[in-house]
Amino acid sequence: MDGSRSVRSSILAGATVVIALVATALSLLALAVPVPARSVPAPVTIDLSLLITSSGAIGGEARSHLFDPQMMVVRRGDTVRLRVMNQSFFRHALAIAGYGVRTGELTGGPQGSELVTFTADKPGIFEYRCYLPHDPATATCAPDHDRMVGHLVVVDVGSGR
Amino acid sequence: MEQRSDRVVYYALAVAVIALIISMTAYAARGKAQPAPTLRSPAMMTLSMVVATFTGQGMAAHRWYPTMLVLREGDTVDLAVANPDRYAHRLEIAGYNLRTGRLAAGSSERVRFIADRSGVFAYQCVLPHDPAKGDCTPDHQEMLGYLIVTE
Repeated sequence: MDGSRSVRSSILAGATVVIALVATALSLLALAVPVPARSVPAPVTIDLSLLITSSGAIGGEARSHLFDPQMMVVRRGDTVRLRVMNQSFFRHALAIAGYGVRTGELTGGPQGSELVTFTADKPGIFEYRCYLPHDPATATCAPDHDRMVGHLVVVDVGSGR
Repeated sequence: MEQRSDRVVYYALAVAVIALIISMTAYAARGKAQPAPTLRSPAMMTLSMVVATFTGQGMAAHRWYPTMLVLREGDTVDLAVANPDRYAHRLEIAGYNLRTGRLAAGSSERVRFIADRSGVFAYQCVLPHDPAKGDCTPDHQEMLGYLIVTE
């Protein structure tokens, strides 16, 4: 009687140890499994034409020069194919500071267009400007050079921002 | 004495079983515990989009203005698409199955949609260039804009 009892007690103790070990293992696994990352959307290619253009009174001379679009919003990882076209009567160029993207000097007219491609791999807000200083003698840029500014906004959607 | 040790073993067994159940629950729910998304109320955006014409160097460039629309998933957009141009145009957001009718010179149309899917969706003019009918312009392909819907 006593013998069978101690055997049963041993079996119970053994089962307890096994169950406790399994519970420990499971809880450790539950701790170790990383939280699944948020699905990062597949990158796309943004095809855009960027105009260097001017505005002013109809029939009058151009008052101001601008980039259209003045703001480009892309997600981090997207590729941007930008066809930059200069529609003004002055020579212009484009540079996106912080991205190392720049065109050559663009003369006015459809022949003065250039395709630049880059991947938006850095989130943030980046200015794009004409990098040619205003020089009336060579018809380079315009008096409102400093106001020719646009912004590239690269949003980081993977982190939910 | 023997009986007492027996009881201790039973208690230990019960505690181990409870621990097992708790750890199984935790294991089954692993990775699911995420901070609840902060509640935000969807925005209602009333916006007008126009066909902008830029002239210079003897050419006219036509673009959708604005070129980029940024929304969050769940926002509602009430878009008045206007065409002040001399030629007809037609807006389509293919990824959203959204189309205006043929927008004759000087006409406009209102479209309304809920941004229920995140992603990047191009919008463009889907009226093929046809000088005889006054439909669109030679730079038809350049009338490209993007709707960006963030999660």
